[in-house]
Amino acid sequence: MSEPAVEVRNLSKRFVRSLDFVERVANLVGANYREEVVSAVDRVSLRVDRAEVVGLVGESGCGKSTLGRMLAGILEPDDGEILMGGEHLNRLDDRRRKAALLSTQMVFQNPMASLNPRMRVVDTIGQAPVKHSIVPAREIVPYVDGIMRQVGLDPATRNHYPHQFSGGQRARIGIARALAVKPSVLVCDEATAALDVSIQAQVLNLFMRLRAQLGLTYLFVSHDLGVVRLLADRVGVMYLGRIVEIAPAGRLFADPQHPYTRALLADMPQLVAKKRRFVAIKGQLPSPLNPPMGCHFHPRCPMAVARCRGEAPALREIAGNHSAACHLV
Amino acid sequence: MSTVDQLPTETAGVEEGESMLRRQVREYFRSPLATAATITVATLILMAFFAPLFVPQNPYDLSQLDIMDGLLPPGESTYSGRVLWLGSDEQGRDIYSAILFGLRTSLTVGFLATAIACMLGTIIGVISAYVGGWVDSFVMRVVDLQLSLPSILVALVLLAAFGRGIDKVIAALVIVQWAYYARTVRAAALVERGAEYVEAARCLMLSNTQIVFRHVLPNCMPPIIVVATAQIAHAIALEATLSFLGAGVPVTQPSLGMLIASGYNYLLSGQYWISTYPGVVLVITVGAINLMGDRLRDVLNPRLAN
Ligand SMILES: Nc1ncnc2c1ncn2[C@@H]1O[C@H](COP(=O)(O)OP(=O)(O)O)[C@@H](O)[C@H]1O
Ligand code: SF4
Ligand SMILES: [Mg+2]
Repeated sequence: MSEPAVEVRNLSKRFVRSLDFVERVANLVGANYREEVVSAVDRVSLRVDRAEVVGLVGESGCGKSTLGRMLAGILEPDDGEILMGGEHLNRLDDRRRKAALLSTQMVFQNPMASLNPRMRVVDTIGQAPVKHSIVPAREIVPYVDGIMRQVGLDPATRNHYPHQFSGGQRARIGIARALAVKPSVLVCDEATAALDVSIQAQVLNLFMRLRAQLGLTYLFVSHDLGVVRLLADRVGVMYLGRIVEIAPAGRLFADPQHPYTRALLADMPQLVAKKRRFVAIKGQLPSPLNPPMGCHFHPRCPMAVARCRGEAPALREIAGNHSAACHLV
Repeated sequence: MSTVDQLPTETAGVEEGESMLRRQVREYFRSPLATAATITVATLILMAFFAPLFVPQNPYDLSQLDIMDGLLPPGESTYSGRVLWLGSDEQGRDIYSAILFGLRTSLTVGFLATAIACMLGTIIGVISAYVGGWVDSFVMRVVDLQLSLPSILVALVLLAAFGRGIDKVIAALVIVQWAYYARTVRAAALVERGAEYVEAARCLMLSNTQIVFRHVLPNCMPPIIVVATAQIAHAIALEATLSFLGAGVPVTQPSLGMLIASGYNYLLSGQYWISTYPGVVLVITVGAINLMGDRLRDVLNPRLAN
């Protein structure tokens, strides 16, 4: 068995919106405003092995980005542990913790919004490697040139600003910025969602080429099952902050076990083009503010039984490397 | 996969590394009114700061004044035959020279007060946005309080306590103006803080200092510049009012406001020029700076920019 590049154990993140002044006053005179707590990520455990690509799918709002952000060090988890290269992040001293977090980089969804509009590309890519003494300041230009070439950008454009590039080129700048600090893990959060289909294919190819060249590990977050199917070795399915099923990609797409996964795949026309079964997911995604008791999926689940309303199913291994969280599988 | 690396050539038409700044500067000067205002302000600044090069006399060197030249109307010649285009006051002081020296005081006070208030307000605003919690609440309460009081009143009270002096006027102006910057910068910094490129910077483990100085503040500059331009005009007008009321700069370094005040008594007896010409220059200065501010706001407004 290969060693894990990153692993999370029982990781949780809640967002609290506290009451504003008006609501507090209203409460004094009898109104009933409560603090709103969103369990964006709810006791998630997941490991990604070295050089593995794990896809993470699920409807918008299920907590994929929040999980990715915690791995990238942008958000602090409320509970649980993150291990990088086998080391507990919280037990490392400051310097090594920083180095571990630096080795996990993120590629963002919106290529324009994730680039500082007032920074030249050379600085956007070169700032962090200089600050972290990966490259001496006077060698930064050739270093940036090399990375730009690696991601398919013309180094002659190094002094341009983000608005001077096309969408696909901006996506490459975002990738170059992440690569510049020599990461071993890339969290790609809907990294191609904002791009045209043809450009999307080019960027996906780039991801795969980089994986082969640099032995990168990916956590590939997407709501596009087609993209995940193309790239991922293993795929996890999230629903309202929890992972409900995870399995090798081939297996998950061929033989989904969890009712939610099945509904999700049934929604995906190109996969079942011939024998299309219309078991599309009924009902709205429940509010993550007050998720249903028991199995979060039970209000929409066609197979729900009484037990599902009261008891949350644990994620259990049902076959080699294939786990699902459902009382009926 | 070499085809993947074929670059689209759509940047070919764009100038090499043209920054947002350069684009905005070009856009700014597309307005003839703003261009005229900028030239006016630049001229006034140059003439004021190199005033000794442009004037026939030092209006505050008593040895250069001749009482015989007192109260001459515009266009008259002095005893020694020099034409006084803007007339003279009762001590025989050339009004044109007095205006340039006065403008120098007015501009110095306006720019220094604005620069200090801007720096102070920016620091307070960024800290408030970054620290959050009760610090933020406290700072914002003080800002609200400050902005709810009329600045002229606060400045008068402060100067009553401080006494006269250029440094004291500047201090009073800073105290009544820092809150504008704090509020603006805090709002902008809160937006920038949540920007994806700031998240990217955090992910790259850059320090808060690096993030604030390289990512947050540069992107807060447009609103800061707009507020600062308006506040320079405001500071100059406020100082003129204070000096007119006798609470501002000392008599040895009169500003435009004080020149207006000193000629005020002569207005009714027909010697309009002592008060009027400094007043005209004050109006032109404040008006032109405000025009620049309006144009800057249009050019830098992110909602209008693409
Ligand atoms: N900064 C935040 N503050 C408050 N709520 C948040 C924040 N970020 C995400 N959330 C909430 O957490 C939940 C999960 O969000 P997210 O991780 O972005 O989902 P996904 O990426 O799967 O669409 C959503 O309900 C979202 O509204
Ligand atoms: S536990 Fe029950 S409600 Fe949840 S997915 Fe399984 S059958 Fe459906
Ligand atoms: Mg997301």
